[in-house]
Amino acid sequence: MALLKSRDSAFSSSAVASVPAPLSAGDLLASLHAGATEAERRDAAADLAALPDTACALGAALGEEASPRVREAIVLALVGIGTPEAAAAIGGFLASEDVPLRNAAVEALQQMGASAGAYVEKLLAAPDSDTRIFAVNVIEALRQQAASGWLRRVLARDPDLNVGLAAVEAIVQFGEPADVAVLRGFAARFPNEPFVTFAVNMACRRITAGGIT
Amino acid sequence: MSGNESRIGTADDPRAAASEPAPTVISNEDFQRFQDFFYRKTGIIFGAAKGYFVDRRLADRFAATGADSLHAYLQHLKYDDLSGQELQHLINSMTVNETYFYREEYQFRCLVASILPEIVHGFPSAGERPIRLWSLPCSTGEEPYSIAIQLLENWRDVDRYDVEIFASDIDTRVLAKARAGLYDDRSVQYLNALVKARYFTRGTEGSWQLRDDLRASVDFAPVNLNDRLDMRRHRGSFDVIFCRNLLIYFDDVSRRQAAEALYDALRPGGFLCLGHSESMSRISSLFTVRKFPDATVYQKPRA
Repeated sequence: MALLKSRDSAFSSSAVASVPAPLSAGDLLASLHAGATEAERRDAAADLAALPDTACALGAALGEEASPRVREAIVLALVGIGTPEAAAAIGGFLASEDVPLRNAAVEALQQMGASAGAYVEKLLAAPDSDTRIFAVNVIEALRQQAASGWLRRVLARDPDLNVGLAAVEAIVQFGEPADVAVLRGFAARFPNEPFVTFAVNMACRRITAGGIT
Repeated sequence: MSGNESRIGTADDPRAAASEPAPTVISNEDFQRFQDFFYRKTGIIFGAAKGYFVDRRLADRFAATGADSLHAYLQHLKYDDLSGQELQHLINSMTVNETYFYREEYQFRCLVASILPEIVHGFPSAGERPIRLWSLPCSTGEEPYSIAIQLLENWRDVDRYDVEIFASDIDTRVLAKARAGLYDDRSVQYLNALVKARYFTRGTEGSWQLRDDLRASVDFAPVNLNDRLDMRRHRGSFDVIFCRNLLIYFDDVSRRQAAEALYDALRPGGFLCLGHSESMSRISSLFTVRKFPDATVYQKPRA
C-alpha cells in the first residue's frame, strides 16, 4: 500500500516552532512595499490586519500594488481592521479608474458594516455622481437602520437621475410602505423621464406587496 | 461549529418529504423571496419541491424570534442579528448534518481520473516527493477514508507514488470518532459489498469497523481554518484540498479569509475541491476554475 502516514507531519505540535516570531509594524510595512515575492507581501498584509494604526499605510500600499493576489490580502486586512480609518483608506478607491480596484473597494465597504456607514454617508455629498452611486451601492448592503434614512435623503435631494435610480433599487431592500411617498416624490422631480416612473412604480409594487427581495 | 458536512434536505430524502405538513407559514411568492435571500447568503438554491421542508423550518425560526411574517423575520435578520447568530441557526435548520462514505463521489472520480494524473505529470520521477491530500473539515472520517479507498480501488498508479492523507476538524470529539473508524449501516450504505468486505469488519448490530491499516493511513489533527497562525504552519503543503460544505456556514468576510488560507496551504498548481453548492468564483478571484469531465474544481496558479 502506498498510502503513508507522514513521518514529518506538519500537523504535529512540534511544527509550531517553525512559525516565525511576529515582526514590528515598521518591518511589516517595509515587507509589504518591498517584499520580493507575492507570498511575503501577502503575509505582511495579513499580519498588519492585527495593527489598526497601519490602516492608512495599508491604503497607500493598495494603490501601489499591482498583484491582484496581494491586493486581495491588503483589502482583507483593511476589512479586518474595520475602523473608520480603514473605511476611509479603502473608500479612496471608489473614484479609481482601475475597475477591479474600485469594485474591490465597493465590496470591501459593503462587508465592513457599521464603520463604513459613517464614511459612506459623507460620500453621498461627493461632487462626482459616480462616487455617489457607488456610495448608494455600499449602503444597500449595510445592515444599518440609518441606511434607509440616507437613501430617502438621496431620493429627495440628489440632483442626478442615476444616483436616484440606484437609491430606488436599494430602498426596495428595506421595504417600508412609508417609502412609497418618498419614491413618488423622486418620480415627481423627473416628470419627463419615463424610466423613472417605471422604476418607481415597480419599486412601490414590491414594497407594498410586503416583501424584501 | 463542528465540521460536519451538511446538505439541504431534498425531495428525494424520505425524511424531508414523508412527514412534512402542508405549508402554512409562507406563500409561494414569499417562498421565492426567501429562496432568493437564502441563496444570496449561502449560494444554496432550494428546488420548488422543497416548499414543505422550508416552511416547517421557517415556522420554527419565526417562533424562536417572535416574527409573524417573512417580512418581519427578514427585518430581524437585517437589523437585530448583527452577530449573525440567528442566521447561523437558520442555516443549520435548513441543512441536514450527515456524512457518509463516497458522498459526492464524482469528485473522487475527478481526483483519480484528472487531478492526480495532472499532479504527477509534473514529477521528474515517481519518488520525487509524497503527494499530500487534505480533507477538512473531516468530521467523523468518512471523507478522508473514502479518498483512501478510492485511491486504492481506482487509481492505477497508486503503487508508484507515496500519498499522505491528512484530515482535520475544529471539533476534537469528531476526530476521536474518526480515528476509531467505527461506522453504522447508514454511513456505508453507498459502498458496494466488495469494498465493504475489503476494508471493514462486520460487527454486531449493524456496525462496521474500518481495517487497521486503512485507519493508520490517515493523519488526523485539529485545525482551525480561521486561525491564521494555525493555517500558516501548512503553507504550501498540499497538492489537493477537499473543503466541502463548510464555506456555506461562513459570512462573506470569513469566506474570503478562508479562501486566502486555503490558497496559501496549497502548492503552486494545487487543487481545491468545494461542495457541489459552493462556488469559489463568488468568493475570490485567487483561483483558476478548472472544469474536468467529472467535476469543476479550483486551482492555485503555478506561478
